Amino acid sequence: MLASVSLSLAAGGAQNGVRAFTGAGHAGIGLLTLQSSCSRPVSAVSDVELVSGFCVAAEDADGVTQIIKTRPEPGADGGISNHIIEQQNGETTSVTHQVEVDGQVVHQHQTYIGKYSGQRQFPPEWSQFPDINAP
Amino acid sequence: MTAPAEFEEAAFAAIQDEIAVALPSLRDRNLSLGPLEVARGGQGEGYASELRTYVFRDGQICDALEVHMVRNGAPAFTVDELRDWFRSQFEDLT
Repeated sequence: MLASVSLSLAAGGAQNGVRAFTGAGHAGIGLLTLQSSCSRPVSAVSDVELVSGFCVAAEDADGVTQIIKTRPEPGADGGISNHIIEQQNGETTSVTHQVEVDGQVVHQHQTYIGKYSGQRQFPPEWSQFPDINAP
Repeated sequence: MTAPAEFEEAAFAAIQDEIAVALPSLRDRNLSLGPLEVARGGQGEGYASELRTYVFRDGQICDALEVHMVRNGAPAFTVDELRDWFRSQFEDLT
């Protein structure tokens, strides 16, 4: 199922490669690969606020926000490393690592974070970002 | 070619050293790091491992540094490449 996605392009975090989007319910939302450099001013983007220097999309009805951080420097293999930090009501609930080479996702895994910082993986069919060449 | 286990051990030690150097600066930025970990999976030519640490701000994970360092049973980087990469990421974290 593809949930409806309220896309909000993060602005102002270009130097950090920070992008963010939210969706109504996080299950089934595919990764939106946004290559924009976040050149629009914050004021021109609705539902986005600047928090601690990062642009964070406004929370959806479930309080879920996903922040995409792209490492400024590619790896020695040219791979682009993204992290998708999922938060609910301000608490981090999952961290996804994703590596792209030549536009292809060559590595991906999603780690869920518990209330007391415990880490766990769930079966791929439960995850928004199932394992690809993990760990 | 360096054996994966030997490479992982050298990479882990090198990045621990980088963390020790970076910690004061990270603290100045109100950031801290979780433990450095090696995640492993697969066997033989399918063996892979990843070096990772989570970045914390105010008790919450706000970022992560992860490198898929062994792929298809062989190191994908040199230790120096990993060291340089982590060093630059520590400098860039905000």
